[in-house]
Amino acid sequence: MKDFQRVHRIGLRLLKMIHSVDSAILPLHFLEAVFSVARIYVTLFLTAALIDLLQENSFEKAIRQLGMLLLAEIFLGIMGLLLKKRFRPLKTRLWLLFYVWLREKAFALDYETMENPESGEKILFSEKTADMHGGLGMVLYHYCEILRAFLHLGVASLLVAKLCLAKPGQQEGIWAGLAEPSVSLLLFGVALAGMAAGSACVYRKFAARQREIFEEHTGMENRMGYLAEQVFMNEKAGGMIRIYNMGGMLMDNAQRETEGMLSYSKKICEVSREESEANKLVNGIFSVLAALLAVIKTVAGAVSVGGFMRCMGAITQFGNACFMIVDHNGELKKICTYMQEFLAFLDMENLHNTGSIPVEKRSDGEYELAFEHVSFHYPKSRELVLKDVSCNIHIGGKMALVGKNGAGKTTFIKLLCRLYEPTEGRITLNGVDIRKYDEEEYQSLFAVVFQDFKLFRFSVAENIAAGYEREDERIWQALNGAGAKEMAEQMPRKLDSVLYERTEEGCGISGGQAQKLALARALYKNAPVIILDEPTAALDAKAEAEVYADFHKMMEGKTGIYISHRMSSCRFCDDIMVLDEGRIAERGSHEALLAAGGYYADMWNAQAKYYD
Amino acid sequence: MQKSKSQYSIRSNYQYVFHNLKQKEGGRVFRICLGNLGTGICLPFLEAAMPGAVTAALIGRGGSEALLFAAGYMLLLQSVRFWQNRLQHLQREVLFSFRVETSMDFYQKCVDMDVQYLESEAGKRKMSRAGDNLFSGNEQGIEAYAQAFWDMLLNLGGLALYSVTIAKRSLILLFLLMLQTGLSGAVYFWAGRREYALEQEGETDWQHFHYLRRESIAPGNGKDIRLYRLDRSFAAAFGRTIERIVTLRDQGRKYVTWAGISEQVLTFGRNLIIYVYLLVQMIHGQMSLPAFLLYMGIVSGFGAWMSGLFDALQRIFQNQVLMDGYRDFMDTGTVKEEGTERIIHPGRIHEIRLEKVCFRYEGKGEDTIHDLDLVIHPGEKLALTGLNGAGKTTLIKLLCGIYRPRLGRILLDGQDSALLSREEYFREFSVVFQDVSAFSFSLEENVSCRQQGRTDTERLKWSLEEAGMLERVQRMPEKERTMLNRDLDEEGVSLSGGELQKLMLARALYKDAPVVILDEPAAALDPLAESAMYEKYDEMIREKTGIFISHRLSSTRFCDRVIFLEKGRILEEGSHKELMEKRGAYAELFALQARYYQKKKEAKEL
Repeated sequence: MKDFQRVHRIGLRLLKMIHSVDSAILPLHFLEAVFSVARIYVTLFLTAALIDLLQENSFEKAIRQLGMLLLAEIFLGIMGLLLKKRFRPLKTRLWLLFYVWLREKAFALDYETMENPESGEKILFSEKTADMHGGLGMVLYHYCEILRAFLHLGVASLLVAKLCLAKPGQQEGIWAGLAEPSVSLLLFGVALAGMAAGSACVYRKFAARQREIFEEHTGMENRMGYLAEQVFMNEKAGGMIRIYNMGGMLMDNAQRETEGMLSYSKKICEVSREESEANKLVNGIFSVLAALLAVIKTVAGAVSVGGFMRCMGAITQFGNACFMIVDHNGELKKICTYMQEFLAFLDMENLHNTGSIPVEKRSDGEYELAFEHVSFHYPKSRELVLKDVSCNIHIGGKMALVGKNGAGKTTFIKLLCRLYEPTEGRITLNGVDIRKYDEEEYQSLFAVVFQDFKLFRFSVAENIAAGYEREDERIWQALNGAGAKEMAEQMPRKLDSVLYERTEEGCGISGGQAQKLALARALYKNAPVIILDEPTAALDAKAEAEVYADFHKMMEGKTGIYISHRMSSCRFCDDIMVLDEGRIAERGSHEALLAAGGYYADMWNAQAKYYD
Repeated sequence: MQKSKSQYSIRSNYQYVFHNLKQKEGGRVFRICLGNLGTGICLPFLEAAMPGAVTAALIGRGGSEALLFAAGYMLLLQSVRFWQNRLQHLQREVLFSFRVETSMDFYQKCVDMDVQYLESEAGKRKMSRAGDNLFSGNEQGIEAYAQAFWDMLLNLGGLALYSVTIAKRSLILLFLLMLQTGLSGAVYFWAGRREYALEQEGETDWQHFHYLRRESIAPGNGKDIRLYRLDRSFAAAFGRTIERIVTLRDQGRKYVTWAGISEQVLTFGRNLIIYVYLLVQMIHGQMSLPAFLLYMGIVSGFGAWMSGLFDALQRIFQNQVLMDGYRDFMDTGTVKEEGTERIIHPGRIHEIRLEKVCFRYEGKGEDTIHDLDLVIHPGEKLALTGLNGAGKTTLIKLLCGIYRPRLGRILLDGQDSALLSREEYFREFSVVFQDVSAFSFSLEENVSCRQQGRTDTERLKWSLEEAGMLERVQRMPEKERTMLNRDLDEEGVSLSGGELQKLMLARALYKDAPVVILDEPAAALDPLAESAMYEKYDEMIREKTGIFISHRLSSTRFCDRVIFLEKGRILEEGSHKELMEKRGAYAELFALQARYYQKKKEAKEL
């Protein structure tokens, strides 16, 4: 019972969400269900009447009856079609909005929460189960079917009751006895109870088994998808596969995965086949018993031949309706259990409070940023990436952040931009803990080009203006600043050319070009602090020199922070901070550090010696 | 739209499907399908005939006889229904396994295909179309194609049974029925095709939608999305795409609705005529009530067979395109089938000679490599350098046999590589490619590239050690058996860019081929790791031929000879010293990079 409540609480919440998309969806579905049920019974009644008229040889009336039957059929049929046409597009929209809602929530959640792979998996799980078992549309569908079944049950019960209560005619003896209302009720009661018990039993037995199997093998489809898309159909890996003759190894893995998939699907199929067989059996027994009841009544003269036909129809519908209610309720339970994950994701709360203080807008860019004893480890690990880091960031200066792979450079930047919060210590802006500022306002201080920056399949203008107002003039300025103006001018549709699109008008761009566009996006943001993480990794020497040459111009009046493996970039910076294993190992000007002969000097010389 | 003439006839496609079906699933599959066919045809007939038969019993026989007959009939009906359900399930199961097993053939073909072709636009398209035949679920592709065949037979069978029943009464009736169902079927068929065509049109919108779905939550994209408020761009793009998809679907649906309405009207007319005809026969005493009921059942069931038939045909035609794409791919020649000559000195250091080699990517107007002559001496250490787009990566793909020259020849110890067995030729090269990525299998399999249990453990250890990766591997939960990435194993380990690069190097060392090619192997390494790698380079490729590609010119210092490429040609070649003395393009570029590393005064001038 509790289970029942839980399922339908979820179900009703989902129905409400559906209703909020378009208030016409639910009434339209309701109407369609009514029409479709009406159509069946109108046909049933008119046909039965027709048969009786024919048996009485009143042909004139029969023809009139026939006309009514046909007219009713065509009217109700067309109404149903029109209703369906009306709600089809709504259903498509609903289906797609489901994915969008998940993403809207993902965007609203803080970075740390979303970066946790579990959050991503939650989304994927919600989507996968919705794809497999049906999402919002199927919830709606099952509720409609249940409604339809109840309508059927209502009408069919009346007809069955009428059949049972009909008094036998003139016949005598055994038939009259068998056709007595009390006996009929008993017979029908037995059939009904048998069916109820049977389907409850089937349901109990199979629901548990299905869940077991599902939990055991989640993600099998994903695994197949991985093999197909990332391994065998990944033409980029083709060369590697040939050179290293990996075919045997890959096929071996594919074979293993395929066998796993087959044995899983075999189990799933077996369970669902056995379930449907058991249900067919239960339903079949009911149908036979109920049909016998109708025959007895007819033989005893309690109902006419036409009445017999009507009752047979009603009994069939009755059995189906009972079965449908159990079946669709079971399906709803399954879907709602999965949809619970979806709702739980929508209900997720941010890990951290977003502050509220506005950031003081200063035209002179006079901000003061400081790390105070900041330590940090990523949520899933215990290893400290930053250890007790304290430093000031000189505003208006150019700072370089150097260190080995894994020294904590990118983490430092992520903390500074408030993508993560320090595990210990605090970061301050003008002496105030950055957590107290309004998140969006605080983040508007920074424009970052990350090492793994992303551009998207939008137009050039949309990629550069991003979430900010589009002003073409400023876009061209930013492009110019990043050295990408010429490239954009050569694109077929200039600013409106869509990147990475696979049509004739779309533009494939090289890694170097993408880097320039990402730079332009950062410039367009017009933030007082610009951070570049490995800005020239994909560029060749000539392009690298060009970018460096423009740096000063680009950075005028702004604070710049660079991260690079190319030690050469340090030459532009008046302040160099060397990170080693999460601590600040050294800090100072290039000359001072070189003279100190420490870790920085080692790294510098490691590269410089080749250029002597 | 899919108007292109199909290469394979429907007949040949079905021969292909059934041949493979038998091979993979055995004769059992045909027994199941035939059983399903039989029960599938009988069941609707038994249902349609039930009212008439029982009524006849009720009217014509005594009470107990009627009861017995009805009970018998119902039992028969239920048991046929039971078997039909079972066989239907079994058929679905077996066709699904068939599709999954067929994917193994496809994988094998993908592995055997010529990479140069696969990388071309035509090749990519062909492969992805072939993949669609297998990986689009069970309502599209080869599984649906096989299913549609049996559905077609089923509906044909039902149609035949019903037709014979009616024809016994009246040929005119049959004609009327055929006419009406044929007409509505044709209208549906037409509407379905229109809808399908519109759906094809919406394909790009769907692709874009899936792209947005993926990218909006892809790991790693969150930083940029948050810092540049890209959530707004995504929301707008989602809105636009959904609007387009919904509108297009609505349009498509319109055709189907109109087809439905016209069917209702046609059915109305048909029923009117037929029922009146039957009634008239009854009035004249030429037909009994049970017979009337039987024909009513048959008449109303007739349409279902016909629309089922049209539906099956439609599915056959739609999937024909996918089948064609698939077979086209499977029939394309593979690398294995070409080049038969054996290599004279397998596994020893070679001389590689390029003679007037030209190479051009498909669809490009000019050569990426043009008229290039080059001799790589046995054991030489070569540096290949140049600006982005100079053709460095293309050249090494030519060298190691992944691409074939458009003109000219590549000779291995004087043997023309075009005539050599490609599999054998590949064995002579260890290459670290620029795109580093590991498959989500065990680390061991990723390095040795051999099946489970066939890895030489000692050699694995050695190569990991040499690549500077051993320590990291030993810290992993399952050591070298650890699964990489989380696609196939939740406990899998993800490697950083630098670690991946080291892993690729370990793979190259494990292979121990006489020619070692490294394409930008240090791009993701920090200065100390990079320097350490350079220092080890000599030792790593001792007694081998080494080719090192980098646009960092520092790497040229430990090579015997530098090849400076520009626009697919060798612009300069010689030792670092010679090239510096020449004061050409190489020297200029070197100076450009070096100046940041010079003493303070010069740098300040920048």
